[in-house]
Amino acid sequence: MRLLAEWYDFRDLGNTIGALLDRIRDWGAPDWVPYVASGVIGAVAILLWTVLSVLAFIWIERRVVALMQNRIGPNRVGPNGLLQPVADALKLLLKEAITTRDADRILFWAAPVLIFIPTMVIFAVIPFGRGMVLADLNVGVLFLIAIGSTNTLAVFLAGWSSNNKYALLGAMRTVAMLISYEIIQVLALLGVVLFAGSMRLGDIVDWQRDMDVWLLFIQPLALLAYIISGAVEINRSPMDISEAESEIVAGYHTEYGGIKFGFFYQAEYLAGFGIAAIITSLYLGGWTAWGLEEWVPGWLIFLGKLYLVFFLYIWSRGTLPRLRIDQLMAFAWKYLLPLSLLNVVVAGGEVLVWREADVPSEVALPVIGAINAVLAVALVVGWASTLGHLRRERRPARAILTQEVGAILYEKAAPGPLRRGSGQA
Amino acid sequence: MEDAGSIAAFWVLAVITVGSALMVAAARNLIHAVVALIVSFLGVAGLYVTLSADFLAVTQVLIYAGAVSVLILFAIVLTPTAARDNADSFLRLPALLLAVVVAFTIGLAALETDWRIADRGGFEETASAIGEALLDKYVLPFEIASVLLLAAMIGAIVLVRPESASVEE
Amino acid sequence: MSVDLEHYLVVGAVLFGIGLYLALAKRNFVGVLMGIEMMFNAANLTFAAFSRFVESEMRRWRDRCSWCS
Repeated sequence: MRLLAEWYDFRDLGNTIGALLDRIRDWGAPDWVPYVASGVIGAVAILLWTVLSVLAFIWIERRVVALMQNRIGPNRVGPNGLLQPVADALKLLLKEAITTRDADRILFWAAPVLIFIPTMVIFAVIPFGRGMVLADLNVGVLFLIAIGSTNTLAVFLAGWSSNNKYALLGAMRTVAMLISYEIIQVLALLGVVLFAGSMRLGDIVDWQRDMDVWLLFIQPLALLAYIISGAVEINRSPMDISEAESEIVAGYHTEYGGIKFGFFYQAEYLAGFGIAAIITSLYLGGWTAWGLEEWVPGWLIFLGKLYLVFFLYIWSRGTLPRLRIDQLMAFAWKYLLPLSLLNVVVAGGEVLVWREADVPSEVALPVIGAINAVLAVALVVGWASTLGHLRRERRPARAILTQEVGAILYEKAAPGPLRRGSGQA
Repeated sequence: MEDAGSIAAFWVLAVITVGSALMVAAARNLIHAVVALIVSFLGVAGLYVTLSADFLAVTQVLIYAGAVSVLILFAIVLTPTAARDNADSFLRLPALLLAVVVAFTIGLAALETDWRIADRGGFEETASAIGEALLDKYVLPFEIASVLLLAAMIGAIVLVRPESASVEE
Repeated sequence: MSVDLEHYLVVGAVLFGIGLYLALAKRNFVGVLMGIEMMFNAANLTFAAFSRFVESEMRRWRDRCSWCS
């Protein structure tokens, strides 16, 4: 099944585009035309894919969360509610674009754009398939972190320019969350970079393919830390304290309506896809699947894994309760940060021993994976119990209504299972 | 660097950087000044890219546009409302004169000196070189800087710690 | 018409001048802070420009280093 480098070999879409660019070059165009054309084609392709994915996942998320909550979800607009995203988009486009009277006009207009841009730029360094990276930067991993940090600014500007106390409060909370979990993100990604030896995302995926192992098995603690901090970065439940309707109206995007809110909404989904893409490339092997990429196009494997990871986020949204802001911050600084630091130290030690002792990778990787897995479980459970989270709570006294007398009798706290049923004193 | 792309990139980025730096001085609202400062930082990051200093460019975005700007914005938000304007003090004209003289002197010195230019082209990858230098040749300044940062962090925590320890009997 | 070291040094000098003006002439303390940050940036830019264009000890150390990959 080796069709390499023919234009119809869709396992690497670069073949098709390369054939098109060769055709352009044969027409005698100057040298920079294919270069610019390839950039433009890549950017347009990413734009189209992200927008279509967002539209699809609006429907998928609402139906899946509805299933988890034992209800149906949108099923009125179109067959089975499939046109719901279109209806949502049209509604947002047709709404009146209100700018509050005392809001800072320029910043109010610019903030949605500033939130949208970083989430799109992330996809430039993600390897979608073999050789399908729009810009394979030498410092790809660091670039991802840097782009994530500009997200902080845009959120703050959105909250500030609304001239609304609740928006500013939500923005400050979000910024505090984001900068705390950024550190944990960096440390989690540092573990990956230590093993792969390079910050270039294409190299990391190639390392996983050459070693025939996914970095998920070697750095489980880092993956866990990154999944959690990724959920915070995209302001998703259970960490959506800053934009939940029941908590703080809508946080930093309270005053935004119409298509400006549409930008925020889309940026949230896009950031989710971005984090899922990063997790897929760095921890789950990217477009490789132990040889499956010979038959199935690599980008299909990549998209499948990406959607699975995003489904994990949807699942956690439908299942887990929301964390308070102080619980979030305590979790970041007291729990995840020491664990991530220990992970980096242990990973560095393992890589050092591996290189110095010249152990072959077939022996070294299972050993390292086993050590890291045991360490992950031990640290997660051990540190939680050290901080006092695993102590069994006393059940508080419950009121039990009696049927005959109609009075409320209080019963002493029972350490066993709660006694149900009608009031037996 | 002689190809049209590099020249165009340099001029566009230089105009953005210097233009937004002038906006920092001229903006009337303090938050607008900070946003102009952020744009200037991003412009400098772009100039680093044209100098093929890739690690430095990304770190500039991460640290300056990501952390220092947020720090300045927090400093603005947490100060009283009276000081939200970007006014100049009465030392405006002498400061302008001094700034022009200093910039002119440095620029003149830069243009007149005969730098021994050894243009061996850009670097391929700077991250590993910086890492090795920090841990091999310049490890002492690196460690001293980290101790300094640790002292600053401890000092900040001590400064904001509430005085509740002495209240409880 | 090429871009040389002098171009970057002039940009650095202009940024330094603007930063100096901000540091000296702003009434708001945050304005002074912004000026100082801009001066840092200008100096950094000059450093990076020198590193790119001028023969440096760093490059010679790197080329001589036998165990660096």
